[in-house]
Amino acid sequence: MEVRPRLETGLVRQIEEDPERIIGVFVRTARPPDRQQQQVLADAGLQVGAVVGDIVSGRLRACDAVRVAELEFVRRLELSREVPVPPLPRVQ
Amino acid sequence: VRSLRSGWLLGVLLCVAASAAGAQQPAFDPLLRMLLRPEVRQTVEAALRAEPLALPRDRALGGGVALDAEGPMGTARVGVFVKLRTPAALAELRAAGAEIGVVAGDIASARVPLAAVPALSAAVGIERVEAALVVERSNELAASLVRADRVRDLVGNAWQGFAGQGIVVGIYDTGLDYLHEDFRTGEGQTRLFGLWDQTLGGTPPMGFAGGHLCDVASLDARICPQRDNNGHGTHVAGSAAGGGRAAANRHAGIAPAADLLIVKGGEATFAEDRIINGIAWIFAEAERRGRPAVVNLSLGSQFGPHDGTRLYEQAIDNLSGPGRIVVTSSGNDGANASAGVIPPLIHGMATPAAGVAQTFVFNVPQYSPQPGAGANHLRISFWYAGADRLTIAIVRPDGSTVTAVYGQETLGASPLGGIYIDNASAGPAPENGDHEAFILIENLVGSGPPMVGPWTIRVTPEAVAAGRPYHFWFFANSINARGVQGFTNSHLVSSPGTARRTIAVGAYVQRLQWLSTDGNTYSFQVPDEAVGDIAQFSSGGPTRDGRLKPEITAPGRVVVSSLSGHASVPTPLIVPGGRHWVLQGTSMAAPMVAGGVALLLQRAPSLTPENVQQILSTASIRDQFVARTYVTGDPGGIPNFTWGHGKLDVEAAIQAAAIFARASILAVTAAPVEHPAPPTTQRGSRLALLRLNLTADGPEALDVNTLGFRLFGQDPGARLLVVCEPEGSTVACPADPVLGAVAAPLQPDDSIAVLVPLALRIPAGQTVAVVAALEMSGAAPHQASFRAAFLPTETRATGVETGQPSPLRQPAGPVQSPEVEATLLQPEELFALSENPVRSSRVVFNFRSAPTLAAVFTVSGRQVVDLLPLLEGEARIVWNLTNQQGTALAAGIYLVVFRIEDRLVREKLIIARPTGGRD
Repeated sequence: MEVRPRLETGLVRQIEEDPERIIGVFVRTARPPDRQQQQVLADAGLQVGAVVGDIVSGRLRACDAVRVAELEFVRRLELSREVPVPPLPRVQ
Repeated sequence: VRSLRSGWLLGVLLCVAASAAGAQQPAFDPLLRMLLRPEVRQTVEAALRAEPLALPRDRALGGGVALDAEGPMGTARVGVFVKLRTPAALAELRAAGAEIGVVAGDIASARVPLAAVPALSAAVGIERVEAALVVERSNELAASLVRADRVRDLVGNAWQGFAGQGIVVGIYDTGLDYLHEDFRTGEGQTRLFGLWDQTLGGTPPMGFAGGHLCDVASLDARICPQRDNNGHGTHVAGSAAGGGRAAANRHAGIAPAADLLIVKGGEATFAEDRIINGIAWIFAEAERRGRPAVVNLSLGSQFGPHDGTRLYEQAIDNLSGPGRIVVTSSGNDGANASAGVIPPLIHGMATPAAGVAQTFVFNVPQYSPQPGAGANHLRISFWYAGADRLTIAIVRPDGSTVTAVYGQETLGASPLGGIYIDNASAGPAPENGDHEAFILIENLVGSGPPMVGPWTIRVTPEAVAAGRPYHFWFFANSINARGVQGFTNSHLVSSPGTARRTIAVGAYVQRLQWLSTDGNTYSFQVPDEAVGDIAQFSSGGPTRDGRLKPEITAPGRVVVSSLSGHASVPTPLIVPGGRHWVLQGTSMAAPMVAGGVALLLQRAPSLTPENVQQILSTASIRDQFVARTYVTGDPGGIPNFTWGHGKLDVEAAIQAAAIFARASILAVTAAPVEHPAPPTTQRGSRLALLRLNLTADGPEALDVNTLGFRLFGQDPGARLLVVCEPEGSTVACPADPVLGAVAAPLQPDDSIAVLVPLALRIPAGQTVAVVAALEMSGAAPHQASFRAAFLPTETRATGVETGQPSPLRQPAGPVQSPEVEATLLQPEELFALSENPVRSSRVVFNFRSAPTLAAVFTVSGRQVVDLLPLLEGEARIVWNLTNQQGTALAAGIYLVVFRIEDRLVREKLIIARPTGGRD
């Protein structure tokens, strides 16, 4: 099974750069995951944050993203990015 | 001249007034001392006259001091309270040009010309002068501009009208100063339902991982360890739902009576997956409490395809729904009205033509490289149609080039800046079928930081099939790179503002200057920006797939709101009173709309995001500025990609939301009309059968269109009337109480269903009592029985504002009258007796009209009783067969004499029963 198309490009880059880093991800599943599938995701290394329909947010080691992508019911993984807090004004 | 610059303070901060270190004036309120200085008076006076956005009367440029000006050339005045040593001091005030208001003992209120303020300090008859503060509700500019102040009222300590009562406002941001008075009740209790700090260790909310949840008890006890050290979140929360208590309600938010759920997502960054967790928790917690909720996200990123297909965006769409709305800022990457200002252009686009190379130039200005791999970076998100094949090249200022053809991943290390391009190496993205090229220009391992100078992005289409433009965005930019050729001011709404179900908000200018707590007046000087126009930084749309974004705009430059006590804030940004400060950005505009959406949910709790989008499309302020668009390629008109549908108009939006509101319920209680004695009636008279109480139970008035009944009886010419009854009604009955009438041809041994069309409007929450009565035609037999039953299934009512059919809450069980046996006079009859001979203990006389004489005589002509005092109403006398002294009459023959309609009528009456008495 080819898992690369299931991984967002930026996520692949993250895996390559620092595979041990804990990152946030979004996982699209074939259908809203039941408890058993959520357990399978957890067993693959995903700490589930929220399940929103067929999208699951969570945290994992970057290298575990491939294991999650290999799951039969997983369709896509995208990196959860860090959004900067808008900077506050400074006196120069 | 002082200056402030940052990505948010996009201009030069000018000190236009000197420090207010005037001579000490012990008799003067400190708030007024600055007005002793002529240059301050001059500045304030000029500001009062120049401010183009007129408030009704008082202005608040002086730290809450009441100021006004009578037009551009008129006298500027300040409101004061004066304590008089002697009554003669009033003359001194008048001599100084003051308008005396009220004199109460030794205290007088007055409006004093600014020029006369120094004279007050020398008035020997005055003991003390205090500033009159502006304490009116919602006097802060933004609430007035978005017309929130027209839909709410502050009565005592309670907000009335549309102020967000019963609605949850959720804020995902840098936290909240939950001790701030703006987030406390009048009794000092928290207005929060909970606060989840995702950055702390502790006890997370049930069902979620990470962070620490502060419940109401810990917030009330002030032991929640969360702090808003940044200040952004507290400012945002104050604009959306600040209660205003910290400054006499002057800086109240748009939904000051809403309840709050707060998530602190970080100090410097927010992780998108945790944002999703935060939204999910807010909606779940609100639902647990049975509340609709709106979540504000004053944050965004330029990463992604800008078409709403990121899983992050789709997750927000999935979380949204009826009574669950997400509002976002549109972003601060705009370059609107920017003549003379270097535009921070970060977006490029072009429609590819096969074989024709297209170039885009951006400049890397001088900068100080930071240590660490990747610390000096420009990262680009590039998207093009799945059917196309593009070759992408990055050219350094020295001409060296790194190229990636379609499907290729390329790394070009260099001391002049590393370049990495992944040009759709994994094929089209499954979420939208398009290609993503991921480009990094940075000090990658083995490379130096990007060199200063002009860089080029060269795009060469190898195959073009779609005819759709490609786009790219700088989504991370630590080296301040700016597009200078081929870049456009469009498609800049950030993610998740590009999601399909979020409400993205742009910002316009509401003020250019403010008075700081240090006594100086500051402004952000941008020469070509006018009050009322779009803010220069406000990101315009559309989305890459062509949808309108932003949907709406709101005040975002310069906004005064709540100040976190834990934030380190430059003093010039703090306004007098010390509890509020100024910021600008679409971050400040979004919570205005979030607060507005809270009011819409108060009106219609089940609004969907699409409903809100529709409401905003029809209810907005469209002034002369809104027709201007600054977005590249925008055809113009309204809506447009700069303003969306225009400026937020809370009042109009609430009215427009009415069509989505749930119709009120028509609640009906019913009971038969009691008839103590068999009634008498005749042509044109009415026989009441059922009494109904009709209540508009809900937020809107109801039009009752039809009431249905089933009738039994015998009168082929009868009509059924529905008559308003004052008794039991909470509103006045109309002058003509007959609300509806319909023919009711009653035949013996049969029943008919009749539907009475009504002209009845019941105000929300009010009750109208009605009686269903038969109007007799005279065609009935002398004695007849009638009965009526209420038919709930045939009853119809409509919401006045929604136009929707109103559900019926019907009485429990069937409601019908008992069988009413009535005496019906024939047309020629003037009266009738209940029986003759009389064998019971009483006799009932029913008259066609009220008699003017009614008496009983013996056959010898002696009057034994005057019956006229016994007349009930106009047409009925019940006599218990006693004489004038109350003694029962003996059996025998008597004469009853009546004068009816000027006719004298005699009737022989036989009392047949033995009574034992004698006359």
